[in-house]
Amino acid sequence: MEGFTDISMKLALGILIFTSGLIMYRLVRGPSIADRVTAFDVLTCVTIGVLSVFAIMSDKELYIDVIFTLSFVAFLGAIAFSFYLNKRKKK
Amino acid sequence: MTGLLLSVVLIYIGIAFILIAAIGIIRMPDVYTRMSAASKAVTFGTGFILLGVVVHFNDTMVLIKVAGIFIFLLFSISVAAHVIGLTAYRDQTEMSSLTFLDELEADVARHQAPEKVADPDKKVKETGV
Repeated sequence: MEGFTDISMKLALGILIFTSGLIMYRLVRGPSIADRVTAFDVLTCVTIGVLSVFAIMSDKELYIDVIFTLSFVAFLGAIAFSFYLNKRKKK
Repeated sequence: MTGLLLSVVLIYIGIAFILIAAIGIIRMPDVYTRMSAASKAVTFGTGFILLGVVVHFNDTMVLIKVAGIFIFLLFSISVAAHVIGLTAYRDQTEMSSLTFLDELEADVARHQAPEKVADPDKKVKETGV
């Protein structure tokens, strides 16, 4: 049963990395800057998924605290981006 | 053993939702629809993955932490999507040619009219006092 969890978690990790590749396409190509900010936001959520899978693979609860911090930082990042974009527009 | 299987299934459901969000980000026609697709599907997917983590660890402390993370994500993802959408609108990002309704247009036009910009707050204060 341990082997089953291990293999399925590795497969899940592979799918998540493929997903982040798809999102990276929009991050690089995105016509407007709002596209890039959105893609970045989603990329952070994919990272949360990767960290959850890591937590299960290594059986350590410490990763959950990392997820907590990461979600805070991601939110502040998105808000800061749009704050400065708004400022740039008013000039 | 059932818990092990259940956590794997929950995580795969979450990953499927995140994959759908990524496809939406690539395929949708303009910024606003992309943002809508991304924020909704990602919230759901992340929730399922976190639920899978709770089922795997089967521990009260983990449940409390994950519940905190999920409630925060529920607020932060939607607020961030709203703020980014408003920024995109103010930046006058192009909409898709399929768009047929723009409800924000009238509000923004009224707000940007030169003589009415300063007034609304003052009027509210004066009538309030």
